[in-house]
Amino acid sequence: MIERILVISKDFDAAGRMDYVKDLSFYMASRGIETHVVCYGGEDNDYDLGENLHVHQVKFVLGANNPYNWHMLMNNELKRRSRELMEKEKFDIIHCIDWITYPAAVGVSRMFERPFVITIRSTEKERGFSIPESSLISEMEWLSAYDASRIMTLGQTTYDILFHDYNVPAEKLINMGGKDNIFDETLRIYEDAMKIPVVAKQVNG
Amino acid sequence: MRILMTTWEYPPVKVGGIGSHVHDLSKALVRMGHDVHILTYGNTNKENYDMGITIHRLKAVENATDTITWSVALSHKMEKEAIRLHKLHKFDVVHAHDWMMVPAGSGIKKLLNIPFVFTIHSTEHGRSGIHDAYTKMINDLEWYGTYEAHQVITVGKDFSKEVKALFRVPDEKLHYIPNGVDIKKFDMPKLPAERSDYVADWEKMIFFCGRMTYVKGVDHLIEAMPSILKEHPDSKFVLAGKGPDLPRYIQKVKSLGIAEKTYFTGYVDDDTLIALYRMADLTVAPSLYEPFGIVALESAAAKKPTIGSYIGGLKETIVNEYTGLHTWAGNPNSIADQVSRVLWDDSWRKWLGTNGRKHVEANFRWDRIAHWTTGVYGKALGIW
Repeated sequence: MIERILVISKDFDAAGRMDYVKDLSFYMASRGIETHVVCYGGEDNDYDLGENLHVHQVKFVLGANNPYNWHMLMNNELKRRSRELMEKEKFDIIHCIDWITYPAAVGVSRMFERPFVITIRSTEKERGFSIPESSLISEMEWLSAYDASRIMTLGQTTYDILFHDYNVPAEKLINMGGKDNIFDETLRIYEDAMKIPVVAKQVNG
Repeated sequence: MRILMTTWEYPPVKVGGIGSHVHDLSKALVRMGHDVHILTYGNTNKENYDMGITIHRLKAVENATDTITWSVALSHKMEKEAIRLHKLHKFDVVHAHDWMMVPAGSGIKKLLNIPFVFTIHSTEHGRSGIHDAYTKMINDLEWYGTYEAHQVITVGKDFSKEVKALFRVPDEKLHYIPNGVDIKKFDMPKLPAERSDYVADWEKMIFFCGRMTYVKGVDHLIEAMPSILKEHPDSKFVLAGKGPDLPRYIQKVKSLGIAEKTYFTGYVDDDTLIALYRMADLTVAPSLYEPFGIVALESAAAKKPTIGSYIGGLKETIVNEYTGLHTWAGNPNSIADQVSRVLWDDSWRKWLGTNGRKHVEANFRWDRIAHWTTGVYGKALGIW
């Protein structure tokens, strides 16, 4: 029985266009699951969207000389806010979106020994390896798939790259693309992931 | 207290002085009864125990596009390892050294919820100036470290003022704690090198050591050499260290016609460095920027005077006319005059060296520095 989840996403725009993270979060809240979204924004700001959806926006003041460094450093704020929430309440699962929130997710997952799942919406290979740091980003994608209990993709191409190029085992990789009720399926994936114990393992890569 | 230190370099990996600083500080903290763990870079992931210190080495990424990115990627690994170690040891404080460890120090603080102490050893502003996106990012990381840290340690009195002015650090979280010197190392009975390997018996040895970069003032030392040799033809200059400007300096002494009076050793290991200090007649530190000035203390530990620029930490580590002499920074004439004065009078030179040794013994012992550092940890923890 899932009671509380932590979603870590760089963006969350409740008033904006239809979006995977927004739809996921509203759906989980509508199912009576206490859903907390930690995301990046211009200001530190906590607000509620109904009874079960709580948004925790963090600001990050530093610039950076490349997108890889900026996202890695911005994650420090996601880590802080996520850790604060996890100190207060027991979360059943952590769900992060893409490599850009993986450092926070793996940090709090290991710190509090709670499982995390990741949705990889696209890989750096699909995006064209277009910046000098692309190989580092690709490495982070591999690491996130290695550390996550379950990995969800939204399209077959992403799935195939993760399966063939990143060697992600089929039993932990699920393509949600084309499915009718992807959030029902996501709930089932959460329950699967919760059966896998989490330990703070030795750094090996 | 259980202390987690993060440093990108730790012996035997050495580039600047930070590795030695962390090693000597950690040894002194262990002598005080504290438990010290070092998170650092290595060729492979491994853990070892040395002189009471537990060292955890992590392999870095091989595809980083620059040093900032390299340190950010290494910091990510350090954070994950810090979590595992924290579950075993329960650290009280994380202590990060210099900008390359700011991402790790800040990340560990935020995940482990423990106080973060940051030692800043120099600034990009002083080292090279802020002139592009890369140097700006380093400057920003230095600011971020002082902003995120519960307490900030600087290694020089003047440097403290520089850090305060650059990064607007509040007085109550800014602490000056000098570097120290492990005096015992300088008393080793057998030297690993012979004086005759570097200079002739009858020659006076003028020693420089440091990175071969403009900021260390090597240009001005080379420009002072012809005047010194005119007064003291029996002198020879031995310059130890490597750096990007080394080929230019080799060419410069050739063009001045004094190549046979200079010896560029390149990188030397710790024991050879100590041997060089001991076999020298005097040390020259012509730096244009020097937050602390460890060279003057090491030279003093070897009972040799230092002729060094009146800037930054050298203002304190050289006591003018008592343990060495000050020169005007960037002024070859000033270097030549002061070096010549010391070379003229053998007994005065020895007296300056003896005074220097006493100065180091009284003020720059690691045990004392470790004691001050634990005071800063206590402040970060809210104990006192």
